[in-house]
Amino acid sequence: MKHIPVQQLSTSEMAALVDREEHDFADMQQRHFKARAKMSLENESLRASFLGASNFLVGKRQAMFPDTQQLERLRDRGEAIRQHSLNHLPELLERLEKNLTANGIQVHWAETAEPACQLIHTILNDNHAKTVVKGKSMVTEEIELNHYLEQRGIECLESDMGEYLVQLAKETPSHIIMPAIHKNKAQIARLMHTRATNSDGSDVPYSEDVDELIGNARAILRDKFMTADAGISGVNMAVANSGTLCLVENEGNGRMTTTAPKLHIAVSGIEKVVEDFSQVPDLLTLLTRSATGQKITTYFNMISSPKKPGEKDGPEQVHLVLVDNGRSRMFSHDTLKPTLQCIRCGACMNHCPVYARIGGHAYGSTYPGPIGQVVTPQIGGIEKHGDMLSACSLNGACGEACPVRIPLPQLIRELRAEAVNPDVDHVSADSIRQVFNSVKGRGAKRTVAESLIWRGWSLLHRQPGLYRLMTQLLSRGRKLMPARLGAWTESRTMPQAAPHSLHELARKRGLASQPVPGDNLTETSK
Amino acid sequence: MSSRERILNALRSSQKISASAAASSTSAAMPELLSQSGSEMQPEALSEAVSEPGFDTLAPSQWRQTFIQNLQDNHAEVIEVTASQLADQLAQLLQHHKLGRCLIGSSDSGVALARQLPQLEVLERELSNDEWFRQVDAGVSFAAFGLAATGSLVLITGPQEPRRLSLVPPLHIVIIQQSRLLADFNQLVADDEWQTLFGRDGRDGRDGRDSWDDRADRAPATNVLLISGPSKTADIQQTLAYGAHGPKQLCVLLVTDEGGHHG
Repeated sequence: MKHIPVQQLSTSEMAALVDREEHDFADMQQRHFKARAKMSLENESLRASFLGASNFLVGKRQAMFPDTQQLERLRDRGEAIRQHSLNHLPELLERLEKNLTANGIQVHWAETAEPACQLIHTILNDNHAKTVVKGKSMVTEEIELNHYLEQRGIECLESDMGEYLVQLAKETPSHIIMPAIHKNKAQIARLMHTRATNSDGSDVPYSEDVDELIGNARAILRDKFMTADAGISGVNMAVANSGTLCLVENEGNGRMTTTAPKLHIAVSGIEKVVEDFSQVPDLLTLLTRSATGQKITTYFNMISSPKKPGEKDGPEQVHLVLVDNGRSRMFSHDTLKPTLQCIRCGACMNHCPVYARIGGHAYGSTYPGPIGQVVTPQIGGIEKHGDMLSACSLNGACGEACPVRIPLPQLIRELRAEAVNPDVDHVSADSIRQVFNSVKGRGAKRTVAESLIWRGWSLLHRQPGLYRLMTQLLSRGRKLMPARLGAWTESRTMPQAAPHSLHELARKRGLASQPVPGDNLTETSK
Repeated sequence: MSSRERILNALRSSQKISASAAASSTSAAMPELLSQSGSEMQPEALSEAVSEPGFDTLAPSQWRQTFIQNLQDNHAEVIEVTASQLADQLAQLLQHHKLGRCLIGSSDSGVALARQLPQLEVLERELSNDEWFRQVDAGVSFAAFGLAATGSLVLITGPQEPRRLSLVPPLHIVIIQQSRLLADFNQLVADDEWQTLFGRDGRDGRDGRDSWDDRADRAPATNVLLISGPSKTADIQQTLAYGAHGPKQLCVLLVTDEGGHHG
C-alpha cells in the first residue's frame, strides 16, 4: 500500500489531507453512479483497502463452515425462519407490540423516514435530551436521523468505532458491518490526530498503532457514555413471544448505549421480528459466522424492559420505533418479497466482485453491494437509484453466500426488468390494490431507443425472412462494421460476424432442417 | 388512521391478495410462501425438515474442554478451581491485578464471598456514572449458565447483578459452576429455567392454550446477556484490538465439582 510518509507531515499538512478526503468524498457523492464507480476504480489505496477486507472476511467466513452439508442445513433453517416471520408479519408485529408494551417498552410506528425522525425527536424533546450516543444502526442511517437531529440542536455521536471514525471524517459508512473499511491505518491516524479532541480539550497524539488509536477513541467515547442524555440503538432481532430486543456486537458500545443513559430508543425495520426464542440461536450463528467469521460475537444483548424497581442501573425508559420506509411495499411484491429476509450480515458484499473493486461509496446509498442494489431502488425509487442495478455481472456469488438464501441475482434481474417495465409507476400511496406488485419508479429507466432496439430484435427472431436478411447483411457487410462501439470496446475487441451464417453452413452440408428431437425416423439428410 | 394501522393494513392487504392469488392459481406447485399467508397462524408452522438445529449438539463429555477452549480462543483467561479454593484464587487474582475498587453483586453468593475477602465491595446502592466510570477497577459476576459450543457466559442481570458490573470496569471476573454448563444456545432456549426467565409458563403448548396471550403476571428478565470474551473491535484495517468500550480483560473462574476434577 502506498502512502505519503506521514511522520514527515506537520499537523496542519495532515489536516489539509483529511480535509481533502472529506472534500473528495462530498464531491464524489454529487456525481452520477458511473462517475463514482470510475473514481473509485482509479483510487489505488481504496482498492487495496477493499480487496484486503473482502479477502479477509471471505476467508474468515469460509473457516466457519468447514462442512458444506451442515452449512446448507443451517441455511435452509435460516431461510425457513425468516420466511416464517414474513408469512406472519402483521400478526407477529402486533404480538411483539403487545408483549413489549406489557414489559414496559413503548412502541411507535413510522411509515417513512421523516415521521420516524420526528417521532424520535419528540421523545428526546419530551425528556429534555440534548446529547445522544448512538449504537450501530443501519436503519437510522437509512432515515438520516443524525442529520435531522443535528439540525435541531441535538448532538448525535456515533459510538461504534468504525461509525465514529466515519462521522469524524464527515463521510458515510462504506460497509454495513465494517463502516470504515475504506480507510487504512495511516488515514485513520491522521483523522484522529487532526479531528478528535480528548475530553480535557487536548489534541490526540499522532499514532498509527491500532491499540493506541482504539485506546484514544475509547477514552473519548466513555466520557460521552457517562454524560449522554439518551442512547439510540438498532435491533438485530425482536422476539415477539417474549417482547425482547436483541443486539449483536463485539465492542460493547451497543451495551453502553442501551445501559448508561436514562433513555434508550431502539429503532428497527418492521421485518426484524422473529416469533420465538427457539428461532434465535440458529439465526444468530448464521449472522455472526457469515458477517465476521465468528462462532459468536462478544455480546448478545437481550433487552426486555426498562429498569425495574430495585434494579441499580439501566434506562428508565425504553422505546422501540418500528420503521416501514418502503418495506410494506416490498412485502406486496411477489418476486421481491424475499428482500425482507435479510439479516444484514454483509456476506453478499464481501463476496461480490464488483463491490470489492468499486467499494461501498460508489453506490451512493446507505446499503451498498448486492443487498444494497436490491433494497435501495425499492426504498428510494428506481428513478433515483436505478443506475446501480447495472453494477452486477449476475455471477451469483452473493446468492450462494447469503445465509438466508435470498435469491439476490434473481432479484437484481427482476429490478432491471421493473426499471424498463412499460407500465410506468404512477400510483397513489393509499391504493393498495395498485401498489401490489409494483416498484417505486417502475419504468423510470425505459428509453425509446432501447425499447425500439429490443422490439426490433424480437421481431427479427420471429420472422424467418427478416432473420435471414439480417444474417446475410451482417455476414456480407462484415467489413463495413465499425471497429469501435462506444464504451463496449474500451476494454473489449469488437465482435465480428462470420463470413457465413450457421444456416448457410448447414444448407451447404445438405441439412434441410433441424432433426426433431426423439423422432429417429425423420429423414434430415439425403 | 394511525401510522400503525396503515402499515398493518398494507401488510394484511398484501397477504390477502397473495392468498387469493394462490387459491385461484391453477398451478399445483404454488410456493408455500404464498399459500400460508393470511391464514390463521400455526404455532408449528416451521416445517419439520428444518426444525433440527444446523449444528450437532456437543456430547456432555466435551462441554468443559470446549467451553474453556472457546473462551481462550476469544482472549479470555480461564482458571479452574474447586469450590473450596474459590476465595483464595479470587484473592490472588485481585492481588495480581493490583486492583483498587472491586465490586460484586449483592446475591447470597456475592455477600458470602465478600465476607471472606474484605477487598471485595458488595454493591448495595446505585452508583453515580462518575463513580462507575472513574473509580471502579473490576466487577465480579456470577454466570447463570455457560454455553460450551461458543464459550459463552449467560448473565442474568437484576437487582443483585447490575448491568454495569460486566460492562464498565476494565476487568471483568466471572464465576461459573461447571454444573451449569450446557451444550449450546439452542439447548439453553429449550431449558425450563430460560422459559421461566422470559415469562413463559411451563405448561405452554401442552394443554393447547396459547400462554403468550395471557402471559401477564410474570415480566421477563430486564436484560440477559451472552458474553463470550473481552470487548473487542477490528474496525481499523481488520486489526483486532481488545478493550474497545467494555472490559479489556475477561477472567473466568470455572468452579469444578469437588473431587470430580479431571485436569
